[in-house]
Amino acid sequence: MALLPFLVGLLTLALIYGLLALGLNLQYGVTGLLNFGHVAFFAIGAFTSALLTLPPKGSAAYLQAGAHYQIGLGWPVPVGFLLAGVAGGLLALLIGATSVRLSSHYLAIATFAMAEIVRSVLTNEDWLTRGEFGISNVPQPLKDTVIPASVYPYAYLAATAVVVAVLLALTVRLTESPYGRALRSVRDDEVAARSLGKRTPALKLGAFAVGGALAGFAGSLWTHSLGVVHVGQFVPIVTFQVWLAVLMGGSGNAYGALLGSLALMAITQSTRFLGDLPLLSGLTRRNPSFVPSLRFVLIGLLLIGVVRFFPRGILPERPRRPRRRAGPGRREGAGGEGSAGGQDHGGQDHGGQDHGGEDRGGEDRGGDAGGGLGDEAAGDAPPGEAKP
Amino acid sequence: MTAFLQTLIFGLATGAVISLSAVGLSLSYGVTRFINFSYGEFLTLGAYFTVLGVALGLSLPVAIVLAMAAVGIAGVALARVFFDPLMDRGFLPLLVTSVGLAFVLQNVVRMFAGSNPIRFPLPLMRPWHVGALFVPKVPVLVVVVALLAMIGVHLLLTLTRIGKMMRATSDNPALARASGISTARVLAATWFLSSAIGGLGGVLLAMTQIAVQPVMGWSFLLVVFAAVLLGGIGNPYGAMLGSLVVGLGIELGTTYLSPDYGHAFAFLILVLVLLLRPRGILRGAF
Amino acid sequence: MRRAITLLAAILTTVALAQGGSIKVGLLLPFTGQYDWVGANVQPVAQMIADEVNQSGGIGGRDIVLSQGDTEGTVDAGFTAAQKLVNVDNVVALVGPTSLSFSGSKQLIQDTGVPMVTPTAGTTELDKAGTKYFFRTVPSDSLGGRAIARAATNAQYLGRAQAFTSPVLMVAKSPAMVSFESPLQTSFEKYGTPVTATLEYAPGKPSYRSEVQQALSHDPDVIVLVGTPEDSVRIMQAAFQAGYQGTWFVTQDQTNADFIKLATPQLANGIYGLEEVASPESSSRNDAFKTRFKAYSGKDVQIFGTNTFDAMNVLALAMLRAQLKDGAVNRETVTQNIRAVADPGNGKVQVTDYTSGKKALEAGQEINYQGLVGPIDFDAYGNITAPFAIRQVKDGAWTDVTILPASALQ
Repeated sequence: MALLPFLVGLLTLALIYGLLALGLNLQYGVTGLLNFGHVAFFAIGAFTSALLTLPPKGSAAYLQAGAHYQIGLGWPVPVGFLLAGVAGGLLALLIGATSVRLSSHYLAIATFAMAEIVRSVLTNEDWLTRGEFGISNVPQPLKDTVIPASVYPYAYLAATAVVVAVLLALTVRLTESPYGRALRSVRDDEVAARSLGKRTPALKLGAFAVGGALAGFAGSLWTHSLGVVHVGQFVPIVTFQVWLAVLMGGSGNAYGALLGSLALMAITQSTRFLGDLPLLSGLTRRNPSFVPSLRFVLIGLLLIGVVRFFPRGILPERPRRPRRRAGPGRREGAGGEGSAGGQDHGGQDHGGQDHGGEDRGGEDRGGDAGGGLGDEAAGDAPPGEAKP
Repeated sequence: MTAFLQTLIFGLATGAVISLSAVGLSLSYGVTRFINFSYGEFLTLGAYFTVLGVALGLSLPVAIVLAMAAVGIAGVALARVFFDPLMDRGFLPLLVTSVGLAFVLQNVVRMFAGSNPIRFPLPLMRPWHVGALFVPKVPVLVVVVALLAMIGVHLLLTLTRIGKMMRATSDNPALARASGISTARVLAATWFLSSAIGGLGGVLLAMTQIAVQPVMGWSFLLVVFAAVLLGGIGNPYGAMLGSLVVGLGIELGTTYLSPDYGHAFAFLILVLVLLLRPRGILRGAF
Repeated sequence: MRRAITLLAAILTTVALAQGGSIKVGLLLPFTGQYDWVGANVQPVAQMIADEVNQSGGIGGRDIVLSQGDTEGTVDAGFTAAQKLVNVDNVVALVGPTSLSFSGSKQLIQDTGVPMVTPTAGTTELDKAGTKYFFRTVPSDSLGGRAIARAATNAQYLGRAQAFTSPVLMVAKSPAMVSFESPLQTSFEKYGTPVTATLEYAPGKPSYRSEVQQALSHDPDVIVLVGTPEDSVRIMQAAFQAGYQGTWFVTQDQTNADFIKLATPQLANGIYGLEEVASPESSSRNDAFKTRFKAYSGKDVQIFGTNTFDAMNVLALAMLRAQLKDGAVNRETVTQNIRAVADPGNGKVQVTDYTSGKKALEAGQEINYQGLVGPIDFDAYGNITAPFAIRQVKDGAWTDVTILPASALQ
């Protein structure tokens, strides 16, 4: 049993998803943006990196592989990587520009819808992406030339780990900086932030873009690890998986995002061994989909369980330096525990922002009945909670 | 001109299929205030229960009614177990829980019914000829059923006590509670109604799709969301309007612009509307 | 977290211990998600062969055990499933994967040298991609496309007075289907009746009215329909409701009893279909397989059933020969023995199932497996060719019209 290569392969993928989670964490955990279209940035990054680095049409490598794609620039992989991040950031700017004015639910669905539009375009414009065929000659840097194929997974893992570590460090730097504090102020209380002079739309857009860039980098890492790029990868379920990673790990916490991704991989892949239990083999004969479906039932239940019993995730956000406790203090009654993913920092320092209610930011509250069961009524942001 | 009318008819039908589910989802949202990603599974369950009923020997209409009731009860039960304990935690935990529940339900169906598509027991019917137009029977049936159901919902909301209580709770939960309305009763009634309607929506979907598959509700959910958001979230009348717009949008788009982009047109419309009228065509909440 | 790791370690240890006495074959296929029916169709047939092997003493006394690797119909899951099968379950060979999950697992399979025999992936992407580890018991869509075009343009193969003159193509946009399009277009043109129009449609839509309208606007007398059974039925019904009077030509995916049930005999009546057959004489073997499978599982043979029969037989016989000749059953020996049992050669005994192949091998003879799908002779890239049977629905069942020999497809 080659356990090590198995773990190495999974770990590489988990780190890539961790990078995706890092980006989403910046958008949601730190800035409070409900981005449900994250997979689109992943896709753009992957295709950008692939198309920029594929051997050009008509070249020796192209002909030898019997390839059919139209566009390949043959640039070095590191360039592809960097530009993948740029592409992710740009797409995020584009999508963000249209939707940052929207409040929570609408932002969620709008980003979801736009990701689906992106996927639709990528599928249909097959001159660019080879649509449903996919492209399978994506270069894997240094493979077989400097690094033999047998140790390549280890080398790639090492490289991925380094890249992710660097990006993690940069992200943490960003969130600990004044800029990061400004982002958190948008999440915690946008009205107050604005009243204190913060330009919240720009801040939100910035967070969107950086998060998108991180996802773009992840896309590049992904496509070169497998050596293929296929539009079928970039489906909504990937966005959900990243969300699960962020929430399980503890949103607002960069390390939590990575940890959540590892935890998610552990949960989804360990359930693969369900079928090896002798009790279930008889059932498999009658309905081959029985055990695989059972696996997803378990994953679903695990998810529900984590959300219910670990609302703050594994690593909740680090409590910030305590600030003066404002009047109403924790937002009780309506949901003082905070939502899953830990905006609850024991109440004192942050004034316990409740993420649960929608229309927190207050832009489009207006006449909309913002109330829900047990939620605060509109206009509930107590002043002075934000930390500039 | 004929082609245009034809497109309109089918747009109506597509809208009708979406509308029931959209109304159900909207009703549920109005009272529970979170985006329920497991809602599509009520559609799937409604369709599968109906197929089961017919396989057991019931006639199709009876099977449909029983299936609706079964899905309604299931909805209440599932809400009790999975959603009620989280009601005061805000909408994100509920949303994630609903995703988990969607996984569970869809795969339970697959565990017991298998993966292969099963034909929905509706006989093949030739279309009516109205002048130069072909008017197929199934879409007409779908439109009629959907209309009747929506009238039923409207009457329920406006005339019955429980309907009024639902509206009150949706408008202003604190005030509703203060005036003595039992939140628990309203919740249960809402879940029952919205799930049952979803079940019927699934039946209509199965009628147009010919066969039922475990993924059918989940795949359709996005289009339903689009309709709900378009119409103004929480507003069932908006949902009806939104469904119509989405249905027409899809049919017009695929006929006159490009058949490749099907559902993408729904999303495009949604995005445009959200940009121009961020709260939807009609404002949210009834 | 700690408990999860302990549990995982316990499971893996159990798995490792259990491996001692068996030969594992991995099923790298979708069992959930969009293509869940693929895995569900393949597994019972594979299990039937595995049971046949085990009941006759296994391979060198060891039983064949099948291991599921659910690719969930996505690329990443294809990767992780392959990882589990190859590196943890230590499978000696793979049945599968499908065209989509192939992209996720290709490198791994190649780098670890696991032989894969896929009964489902007909994509033309694999036509030249094969390395020594790739085999398939499903003819490339380039062949299938050619066969349809050949038949549709030749009255003799259709069993009617005239060939079709105005064909329209409707092809689903999914990895499994798109690769029919190009061969169809080229072949129709080559055989003298260029395609009037080609329409690609998005799979899984609830209604195909506008696509059908577009197709009918070109006034076809036959529509070549490439897609899943459910989508095909929706399209056919939409056309029916729009008053279409012409007929349809479908691929192997729809040429089965289940499709007629789904569409209803009334709608399906008179449509043409395609099925891989080994030879004009092999239809009795096909019937025997169907009877045997029905007795075994209580169900009818589904799509990919015959392809799986051939894939699994080839693997089982290769493993047996590896055991007998090389004394070891591992990835390398199995890979080498696949061609030995499948390809033609002088003095080879032709066998059509595991039991007769086993008898011949143990008697010291060399064998040439002849499958249900075709002679199963792999070319340099691991592809096979097959004659095709042209079928037509009459009285609610598929009946043979003619056989298209491989020579007619040159």
